[in-house]
Amino acid sequence: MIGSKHVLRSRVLVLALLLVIVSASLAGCSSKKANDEAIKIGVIAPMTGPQQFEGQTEVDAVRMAVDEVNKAGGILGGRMITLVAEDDGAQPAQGASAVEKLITKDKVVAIQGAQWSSVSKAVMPILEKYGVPAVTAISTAPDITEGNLPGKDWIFRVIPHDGLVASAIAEFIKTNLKATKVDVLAVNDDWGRQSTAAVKAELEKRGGTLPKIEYYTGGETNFLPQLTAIKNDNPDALFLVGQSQDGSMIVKQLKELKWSKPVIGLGAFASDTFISLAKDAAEGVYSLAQYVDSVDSPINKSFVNAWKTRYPKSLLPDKYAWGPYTATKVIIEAIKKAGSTDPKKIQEALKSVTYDGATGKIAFDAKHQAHPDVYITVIKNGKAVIQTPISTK
Amino acid sequence: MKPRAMNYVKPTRRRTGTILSLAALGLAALAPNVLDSYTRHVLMLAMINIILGLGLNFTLGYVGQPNFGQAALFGFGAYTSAILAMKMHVSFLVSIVAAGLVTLMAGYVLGYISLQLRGAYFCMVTIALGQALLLMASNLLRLTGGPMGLAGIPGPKLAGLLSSTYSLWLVALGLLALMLLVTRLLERSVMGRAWVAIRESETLARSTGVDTFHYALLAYVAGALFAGLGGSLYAHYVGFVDPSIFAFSWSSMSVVAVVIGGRGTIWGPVIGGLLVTLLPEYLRVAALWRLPMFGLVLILIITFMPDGLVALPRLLAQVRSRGKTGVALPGGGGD
Amino acid sequence: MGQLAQQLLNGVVMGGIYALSALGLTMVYGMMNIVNVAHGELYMLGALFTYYLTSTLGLPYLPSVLAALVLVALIGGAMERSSLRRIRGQTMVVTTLVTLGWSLILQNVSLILTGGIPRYITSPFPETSLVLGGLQIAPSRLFAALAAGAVIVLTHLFLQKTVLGNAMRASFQDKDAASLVGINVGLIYMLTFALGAALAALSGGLLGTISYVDPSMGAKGLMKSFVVVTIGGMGSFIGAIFGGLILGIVEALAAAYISSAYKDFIGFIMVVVILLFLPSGLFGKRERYA
Repeated sequence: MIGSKHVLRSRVLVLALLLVIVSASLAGCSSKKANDEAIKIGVIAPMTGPQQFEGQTEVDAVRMAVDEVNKAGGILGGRMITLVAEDDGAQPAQGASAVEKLITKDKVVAIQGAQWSSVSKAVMPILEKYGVPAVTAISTAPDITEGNLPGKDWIFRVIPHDGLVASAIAEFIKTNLKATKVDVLAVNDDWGRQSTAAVKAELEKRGGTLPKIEYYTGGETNFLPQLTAIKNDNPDALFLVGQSQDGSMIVKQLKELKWSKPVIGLGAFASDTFISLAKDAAEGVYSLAQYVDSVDSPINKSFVNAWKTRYPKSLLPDKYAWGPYTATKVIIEAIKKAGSTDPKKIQEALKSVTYDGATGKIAFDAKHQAHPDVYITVIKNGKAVIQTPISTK
Repeated sequence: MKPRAMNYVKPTRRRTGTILSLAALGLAALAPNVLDSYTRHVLMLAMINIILGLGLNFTLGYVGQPNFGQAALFGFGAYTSAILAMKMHVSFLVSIVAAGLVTLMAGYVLGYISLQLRGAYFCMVTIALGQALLLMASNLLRLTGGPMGLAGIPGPKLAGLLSSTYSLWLVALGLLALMLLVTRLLERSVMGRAWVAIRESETLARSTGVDTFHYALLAYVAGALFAGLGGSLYAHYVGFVDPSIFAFSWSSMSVVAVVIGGRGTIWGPVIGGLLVTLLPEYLRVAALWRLPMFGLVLILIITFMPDGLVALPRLLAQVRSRGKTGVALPGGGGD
Repeated sequence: MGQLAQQLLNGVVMGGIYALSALGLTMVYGMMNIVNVAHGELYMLGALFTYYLTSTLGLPYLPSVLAALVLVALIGGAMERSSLRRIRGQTMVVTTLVTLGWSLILQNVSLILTGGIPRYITSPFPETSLVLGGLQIAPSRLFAALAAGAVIVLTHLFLQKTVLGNAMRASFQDKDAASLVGINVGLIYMLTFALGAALAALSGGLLGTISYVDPSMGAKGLMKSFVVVTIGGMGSFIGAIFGGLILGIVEALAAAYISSAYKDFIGFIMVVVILLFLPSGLFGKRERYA
């Protein structure tokens, strides 16, 4: 008897708790006070799930950009900017929900994102439906700007896409590394597949061959099977596509196999995160990077310093910090230029806005693609040293 | 939750029920005109989740097998529609019917394989098949577009004048109503009783001459049909399909919906589907604490109401009758 | 030929590592009939605690792993005491979903507390690979594989030979008989789940040196652990060893001779095929057909 009473009582307690949680969250939704003065900018990023680290960095970077502008007195006659960040979990459907919410509930005037190309493609039709522009800083699938997807008028891109960096990579492999037989190990997602295809085309144009193209599933930790097969194939150089975590595991396992040929990576092979994870194994790894913390420009130096002051426990900024920061600044510039918070006017302004970024001037071409510099780097003594800046115009 | 074997209802009550249901349906059909578009969007996703849950409920709820592979069938439907609409430019009607039929056939094959097993091994095979399909979708570039996915899937325009979102809302609502009706009919049929017999004791069911494999397979195939139609709706609604649609998270969310709503009941997947869609959305205010809070709610509901939320009225009635007898509950720790 | 030998060596070593990482999962299933989806998170916590103990507190490696093991065992005990205990005897789906809830909580709270930055546990072993007859193997990897064997044998002996181990097995075979002879069955349940958590944490601590450490690492590895325990037979230790070896070797050979993009596909199809012929894996107890 006592037992069942106990159970009943605790069930009632739980019910009460559930009610509190649900009603608190609902109340939180409705009781948000609308600030007439504040201008709302939205962010969608994978804040949870396997991409959480990159997503968190993205939100941190956007927050820093917004705070800088607010501290300097805001825009449009002293109006402050508020940030609304939503999680997309790197999933297209979740991204669509997040954007629906940002536009219709929070009434954001523009959106920074998405990070994953698949999410960007899923949200583009929604941007078009409501007429709200977005600036993406990380999605590098070429067809977002170059293709004919629904909603392409509403998305802008500050980072050079996979097609634009491919020729730089191929050129470097041919002239600097003097390699003709190149093997590839790339992550099996849209980004890995598309950049591999682009680099393959560019290398073959230059007389190179790619006898072995291997893919791995994102989140893999055992690369020895592929690497052993590649080593056995004995290419002149190895081209890698991957994030910091995967990339660091790959170069460490290459070291285990006593690999001695040149390695060039695309993705995060020049970031502080990669170097701190891979340590000695990172030495001598070449990389094509859309951003490196060692870029020698006053704008970049003040960006890196601001980042270090604001996030002292964090690692040095990488493309997941630089890109979203730049995209946010570009959005703010466009709002200033439009002189209005009307999303349609902001979209118009984005077409002709210019912004001096850490890696060069950001201005969008007719397809909404910007052309800042990219860099070939090599890691020496635990630092990514820039070999050559390359224009993507 | 045993479905009632006897289901005689007074004719007048039955008529009132029908009228009420039709009225509710009519209201739901008009709802998009008054709802704001975010709520409309979330409810649309909820309807897709409910359709998936209703499909899963056959194997998970009635036959009682731990099916964690609903995403495999959902993805099959979504990809069928996406490929037909993008590459062969078929109309929406053809696309959704084809998605249902193709998934039904796929469900027959996948069900035939997985139902060779029971319990934890059945569970593992459903997971493994889902993962295998995910990897196939990533690698068969020409057919599926690989990880790049298929973007720009067009939505339908019913009667040429309704917007695509409104048309899909009506289609989803119609399917949902139809599926509830089908579930009710199946539940009360010989088949429904055979399913429950398998759940209670498969050995006993077999010894009384029930072809348990056959009935379990039918449950799986019926679930596949629902999942295929749901997948088609998803593809046309979101307009973009990529291999992540086969992910374990879709399957597990569907299981969560059925279990917290109430396994083996008609309204369980409805309540559960609403909850697993609305709760994570409205918990967005909690920012980073969104998923831990969702996890906590999940644990609390399942730990204290393993039969799901449909059992809530009975639970409350119990509490009330206790209250009336005036028994003071002893103090002390809540365990 | 050189490649085949190297691939086989890699495969065998990885097999040991896979077996180690699946041990807690198979034990909790075998004893308690729970498919612990939070296994990956307990594994992650083992690695995460080891990282903080070695880098922030500067403790030596092995004591840190043991301390992490104790901490995670406490978390496991708390999980059992607070929720799993209440639903004992419920169907598998119900218990699985409770562990799913726990995995959401553990992963995301770790994310909030650590910021999600990927880290790296400094390995106490030299980084240069050993060379054996033209074949390379990293010392840390070799150690992990050997440790896997040792842990498996020790856990097996613990369950078979010690009083506590016997009490555990007795409690799960016949609860009523066990409590009649004076075994505190409730305590045993908690200790068993804690032991499963400890095994997960131990593998996280040991494997953290050859992987990276971040809150999502457990979820990423969970599918492979599922494959290992299913092939070997759920609940069987010897099965986990064979499941790990088979997966390790098949992955190596598939990447070398078929296609790396289909490497994981082959792993999952293998699960299906093996179960069609051996419905409870290689060494699993015959599943009741009911």
